[in-house]
Amino acid sequence: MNTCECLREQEVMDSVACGRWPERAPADLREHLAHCALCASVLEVALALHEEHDILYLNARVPPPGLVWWRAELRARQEAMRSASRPMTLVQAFGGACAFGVALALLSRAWPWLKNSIAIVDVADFSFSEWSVLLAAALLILIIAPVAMYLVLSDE
Amino acid sequence: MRDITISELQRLEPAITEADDALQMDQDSFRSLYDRTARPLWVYLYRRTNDAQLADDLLQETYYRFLRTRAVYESESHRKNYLFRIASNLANDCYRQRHELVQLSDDHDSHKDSDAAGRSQRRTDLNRALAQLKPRQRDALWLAYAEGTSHAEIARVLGVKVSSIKLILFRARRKLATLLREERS
Repeated sequence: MNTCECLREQEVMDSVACGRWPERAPADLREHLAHCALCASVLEVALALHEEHDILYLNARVPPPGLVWWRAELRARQEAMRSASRPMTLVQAFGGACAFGVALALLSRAWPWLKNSIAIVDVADFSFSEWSVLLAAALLILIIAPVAMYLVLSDE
Repeated sequence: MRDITISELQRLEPAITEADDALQMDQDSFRSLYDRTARPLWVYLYRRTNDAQLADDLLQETYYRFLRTRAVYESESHRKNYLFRIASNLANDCYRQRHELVQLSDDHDSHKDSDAAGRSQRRTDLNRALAQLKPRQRDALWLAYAEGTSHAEIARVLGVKVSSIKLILFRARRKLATLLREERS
């Protein structure tokens, strides 16, 4: 016997697990328990935990296996779809980045011409109606751009 | 991430079929395994979390991870230990996320019998005492004394050496026994 275990611990645990303690436990084991502090603590803890286990076990309301299976299957499908659609999302993101790059390149090439055109137009002389047309055009672009993006990216 | 469209779903059909194969078990085998393991596993998770709803969620997650794992099991007990290992890790993650000690919940009252005041008091004492132990100590004690799990199996579940289990159990048991005596007095 060493300081942290007794050879009869298992006997004590079996006796509790099988419901033999205390009435049907062997007399020598009961005698041993009166003198062995280690086995006494095993008994105390085993009785408390076993009682708790039995109560919880009887009252456990586990979900039906079909439901657990169905949820697992559904989640596996969702994950498979997500991983399969990842390359498409990457391609679309790459396409979007390319389009943005092309638009920037075009803008930089057309910039001298645009600059001259803007210089000719004197915005200070704009009338109310001209400002309205300009604002309406800007708003239209702001609305059309996201719709166009949506139409490009979705294929329904 | 954006929603998946119908035409994409059609394109992804092979992947969906693969997903069905991704679960490493057929439904009948799963049902049989579930019938043997769900109840002790749920009780274990409930003891760890003290929350029936959370125990349900963790049970679902445990089986999902188990079903997705490509592993070869040497025996039925190895399979069961693996399930408990997943459950233990999930409960640990949950414990870290919540940053709170396991506390008594009103749920215990639902199991009360009108003539079982003594038992109820013992359970309250036990819960208070267990709440003062470290999660690993609680796990080891529960597996050893409530589930009757062997030291080698507990070591697998907790991911520690078999030689450490005796000491963990000894310290945990001594502490719990002392706390229980204090609670009762």
